[in-house]
Amino acid sequence: MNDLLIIMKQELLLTLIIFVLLTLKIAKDMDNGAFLNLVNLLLAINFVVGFLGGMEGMLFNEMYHTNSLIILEKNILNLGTLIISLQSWSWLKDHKHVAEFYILLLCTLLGMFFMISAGNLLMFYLGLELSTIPLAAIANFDLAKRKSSEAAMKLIISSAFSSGLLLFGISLVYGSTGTLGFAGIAASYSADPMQLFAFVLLLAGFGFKISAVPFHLWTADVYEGAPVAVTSYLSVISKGAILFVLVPVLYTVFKPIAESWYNMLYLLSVVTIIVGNLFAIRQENFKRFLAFSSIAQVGFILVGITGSSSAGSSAVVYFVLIYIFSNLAAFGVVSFVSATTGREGISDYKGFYKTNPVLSWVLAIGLFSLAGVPPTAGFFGKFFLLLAGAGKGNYILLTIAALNMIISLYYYLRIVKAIFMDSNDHPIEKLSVPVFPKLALYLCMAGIVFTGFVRYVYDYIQSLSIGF
Amino acid sequence: MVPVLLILIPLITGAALFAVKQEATAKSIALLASLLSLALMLAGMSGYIDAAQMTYDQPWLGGINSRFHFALDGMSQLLCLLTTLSFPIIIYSTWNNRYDDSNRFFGLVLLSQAGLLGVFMALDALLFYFFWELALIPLYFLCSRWGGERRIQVTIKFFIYTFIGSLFMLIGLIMLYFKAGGSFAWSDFLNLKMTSGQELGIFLMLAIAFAIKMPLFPFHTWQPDTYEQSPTAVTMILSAIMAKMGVFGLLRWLAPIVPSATFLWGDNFATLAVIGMLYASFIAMRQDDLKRLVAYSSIAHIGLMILAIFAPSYSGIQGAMIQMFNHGINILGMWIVVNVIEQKFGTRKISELGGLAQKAPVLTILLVIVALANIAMPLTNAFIGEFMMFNGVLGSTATKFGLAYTIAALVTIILSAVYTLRMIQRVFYGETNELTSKATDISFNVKLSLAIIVVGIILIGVFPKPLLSLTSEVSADILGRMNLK
Amino acid sequence: MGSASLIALTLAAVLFSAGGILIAKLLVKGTVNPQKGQAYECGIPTSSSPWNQFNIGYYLFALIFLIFDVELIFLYPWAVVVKKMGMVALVEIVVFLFILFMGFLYAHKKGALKWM
Repeated sequence: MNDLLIIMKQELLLTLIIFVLLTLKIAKDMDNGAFLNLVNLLLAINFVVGFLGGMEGMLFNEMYHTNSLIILEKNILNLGTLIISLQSWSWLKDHKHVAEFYILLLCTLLGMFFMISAGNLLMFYLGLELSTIPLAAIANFDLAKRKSSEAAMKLIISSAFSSGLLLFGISLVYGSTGTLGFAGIAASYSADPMQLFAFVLLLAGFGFKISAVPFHLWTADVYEGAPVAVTSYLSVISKGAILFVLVPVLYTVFKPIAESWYNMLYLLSVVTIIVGNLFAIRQENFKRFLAFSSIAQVGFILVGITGSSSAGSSAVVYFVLIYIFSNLAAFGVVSFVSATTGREGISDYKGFYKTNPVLSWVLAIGLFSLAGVPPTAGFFGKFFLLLAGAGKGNYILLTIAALNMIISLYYYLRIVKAIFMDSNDHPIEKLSVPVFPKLALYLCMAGIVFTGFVRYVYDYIQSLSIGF
Repeated sequence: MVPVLLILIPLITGAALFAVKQEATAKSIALLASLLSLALMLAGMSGYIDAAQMTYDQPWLGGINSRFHFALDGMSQLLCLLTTLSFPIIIYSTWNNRYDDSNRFFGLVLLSQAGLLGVFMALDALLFYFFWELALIPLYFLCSRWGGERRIQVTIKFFIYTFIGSLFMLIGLIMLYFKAGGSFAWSDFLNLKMTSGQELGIFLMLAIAFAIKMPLFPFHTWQPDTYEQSPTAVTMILSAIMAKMGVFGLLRWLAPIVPSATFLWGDNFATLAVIGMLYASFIAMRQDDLKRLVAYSSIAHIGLMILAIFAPSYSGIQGAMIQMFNHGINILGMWIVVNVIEQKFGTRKISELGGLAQKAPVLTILLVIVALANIAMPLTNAFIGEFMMFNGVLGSTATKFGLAYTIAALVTIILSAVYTLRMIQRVFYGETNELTSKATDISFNVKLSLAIIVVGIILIGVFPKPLLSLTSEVSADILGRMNLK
Repeated sequence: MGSASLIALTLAAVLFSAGGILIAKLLVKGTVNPQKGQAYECGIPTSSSPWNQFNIGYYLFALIFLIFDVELIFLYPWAVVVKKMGMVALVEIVVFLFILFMGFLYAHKKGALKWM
């Protein structure tokens, strides 16, 4: 019983926080400012406690397992959630349903924790559902906007569809192996057509969730319609969580058919990078733009996954960490501008530097990091992904990825140019950033600057992931 | 510790300058920092500092076996000396230029110095790549913020060109990493067993990056635009030092690592270099803009170094080495003069100027010496370098076309005499016009800067031995790896 | 398990779905009349268009009913093993019921249980 408390520390703490919030909501009407202070404090505590005294282990007949890498992954997700929460302060401070927002948000985080820790396809599926259904509800939180409802509708339908595929795949896996436990599947899997078919279905389900091409069609619409906080949560945290699961699932559960999935993943990554990039060039709305750029980023992550297991998994974890910082730096500015002025078009950002130099720099550095320009952390993230991807000697994939980095550079620069160079008759007025969003942006900047060449971060991640 | 200090001084000062508000203070701090690194460099070279302190080796990214490995061998010393010498001159000679947010300007200048020094000292491929980019990025900002009218298009062109090059280089380095069994160390890259196909692949990846940087025809189109549109202080960095990054890359990261591909493809690149030299010289003759003229002449001069490297012999490589330094200070002198003219008259058009010699005799004398060095008159430094390179190309056993290359290159020397002297004649002699009749002679800071350069030119011109002996070991080593003597 | 099973599965799926439609087509004699197109409303003639909006309260009640319905279903298997598991089972079911109770309180606080 004591072991259980320590092993499931992160989940239990999160559940506790959810209950505290729910009780507060029921017991008394707090004003938004005090409530937000409390939530952010709780999330910060949650993040810090995540690092203290974890324990590896298995629970519930291997339904649930955890190890140091998984603990770290959960901490990364905690950090991202904290940053997003800080950033959405200016959007939430006048919102009617703050408590509900946080309860639903943290429920999805809880779902992701269980998903990452799953040792069984059923547990994985439960975690996945818990992490998507509340998301659809909070995608609708811009209550006055029709687009927000549309986004929620599209999200719920597409995730229901992908869950259907996933479930079909799981049922076929169960039918052919007689077990749902990861260890059992790994022991009895082989490349016979039935099982390959099951795997393809599973991969398609995964593809939907990480919005890999050709399963990406919902992404841009949902990202555009949903409130920015939810968009950044979708693009960073929920994607990151699924990728955290995908790596061990591929390398441990489906190890017997590694040759087959290598080819599928290869194809998937090439198509994803190219399509994501080419569509990003033409976007005029900032959120749609970031949607496509995040699709391209997923393509890069898939390149990293095609490498060897330990290099691939550490590169993915490292990249997701950096991706959180860089994407949230960009989203943070967009979120703040959108919450205060309601403007989201890329052309609205023309001349942004004249009125808001500091925010412009934050946005520019975030975009540079997304583009993988050294010496930002984004470069190191991409570098390790490419290095992992090249581990199998596949330089064609590497070259395609590098060429796409150039394309992506073009469109990121286009925005930087709009911010710094272009003039605008009606620039976004001068904004003063409140303390919480400011804190979040500082966190992101520190992350972008230091995660890259402070060697301990990568070394630490690698020391954890060498095991499997 | 010396390499780390050399990088840290400009890096920390550069970052700190962003917080300084007063213009004069920022400038003085920048000058002081650059002088400090020069002093450190000189102390290191004179043997005053223990030789063991000249290298630095610490683990960096343990997981992929990348190290903080800096060392100062002869070639590095030469180029670091050039860098640390150029920066004080650049800052001091443009002392009277005005910039908005000058603290940021000088901060970025110093950051780029840190990057350049890192490039010249790194002995780890990832570290090399990292500093390569670190040197470039401040320049993008400098050019796009303080440049001329078309600065934005030009910066984007510059950025995309160099970034493409960098990415190719990155792929090449990753290929080498796996070939070397998971190591980024320069010493592990030497003597790798590779098939000729692999070697060619790596060679092309790296060569494109360096060719864009130098620049080699036909990858040069970003260069005249960027030189023209950048503020002159930045152009000085670009042409005096940054262009040497490419040449340095050839000598450190290309020729010794993939010697047989370099040997096989030498003629192709040598031919490109010759075409580029002729092409740039002819275009330079037609230029009316002083900056573009110097920019094209720079392409021609760099082309000769490339030629000497791809048609190698001991004398040629040594010539290229010393010429990297010479070209650095000579072109710096030219830019200082261009800057003075631009600041004084607000124009760079040759056709609008004239008769400056009557008004500014000191400037004229100093310029003439620099210009003579630029066209390789005997007794100037460039003569030594170019003579050695001609000698080397002619005597190279690596190519059958040594004679043809030499003749073509000699033509460009003549052409360079033509356009340089004609520029001097038009700008400094003849009648004064409305614009130039009110001119005065140069201020003390320009005088001093030019005087230092002129002293350098003549000193190296008559007594080149110290510089030559500095790099002799490295040159012999490169040739040894290519099986040439 | 080979491709045979995959083919069998596919065939079964197609047969199952297509068969239903086919048999219905074969057995039923089709008649068309206007009443068929109308919504079913307790056997009395429909009073308005079937596309009109329902009060959201219906859904809320339905949802809350469903939740507590399912909760009860979970209690049955628990009741079977509670003796064997002892204290642990008791604690766990209390936690479970507490969570649902919080949900109930929330619904109550939001006024979801008030009709109109």
